[in-house]
Amino acid sequence: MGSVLQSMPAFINWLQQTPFSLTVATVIWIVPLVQTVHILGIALVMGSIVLFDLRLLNAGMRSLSLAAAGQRFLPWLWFALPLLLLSGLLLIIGEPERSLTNPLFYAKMIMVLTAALISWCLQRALRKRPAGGLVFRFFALVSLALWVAIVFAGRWIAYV
Amino acid sequence: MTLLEIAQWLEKSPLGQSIRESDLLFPNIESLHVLAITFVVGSIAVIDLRLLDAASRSQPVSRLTAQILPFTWSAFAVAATTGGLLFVSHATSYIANVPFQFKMALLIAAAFNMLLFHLVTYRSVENWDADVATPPAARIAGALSLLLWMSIVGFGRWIGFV
Repeated sequence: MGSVLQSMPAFINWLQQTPFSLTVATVIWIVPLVQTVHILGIALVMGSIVLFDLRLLNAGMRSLSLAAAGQRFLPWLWFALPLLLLSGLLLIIGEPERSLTNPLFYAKMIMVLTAALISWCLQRALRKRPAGGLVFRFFALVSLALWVAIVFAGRWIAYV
Repeated sequence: MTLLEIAQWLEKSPLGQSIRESDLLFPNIESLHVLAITFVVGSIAVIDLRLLDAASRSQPVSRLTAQILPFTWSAFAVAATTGGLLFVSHATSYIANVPFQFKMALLIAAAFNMLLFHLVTYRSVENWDADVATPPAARIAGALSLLLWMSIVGFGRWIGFV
């Protein structure tokens, strides 16, 4: 890990000078457009994962069974995550220093991985325990907290 | 008082000053704004897609709106409050910012679209509540709402680039 971080400035230097990076950085409409797509991807996550977590917490969407709520909402999460990865990658390529040297960026990535893993595990666990329970509620709360933190970290990357 | 004078007064107010001068307030209010607006857009999309018969087809429209809209309105209240606070901190630049002006115009358009749907189209909801063939007026309202909210996010992000 240490050596990876040491070679980061060289990597950033190389990336910044690729024609692709220069295009993303200099064509004025690309970054705002890709950021908009990125925020709309987060809107898909929010619409799906918050409603699913609220259902797990028995706080909303009660007309759907837990399994039905999972089937209704989680596919949108699995669609939104690759969209976020792709748009996020474009933003990194256009401005590698902004994220790759920023500790908040790495914290955000760890939280995204954790949140995705939690939802994936909950989806699988619901097959064996369709009635849910305390563990499901606990992880629904963790998932909600993580997504709140992810959005804050994402916006704060611009300020740190 | 002209709009510019109101903006200048807001910007000079203690509230505007403290948000502008604090290193923590602006980014945190902005993060909360993004959080709230993404939930507003994402949850409204669930209803829009039902109006377009594209998803949640097993759910009656009235049940879906009853279950989702209270959360959406709470998030909208947060988005409007945080948006107001951000506005106060840089009011004179925002009123002159073209994407901001577009965003406000589109918000008004989204409000009209919603009012028209609730006051006219939705009144006959019992006739098509569980239908997977919603009336054309409901489909148009759903499609317009999706387009308007996506554009609101787009212009909102664009505000920071001019």
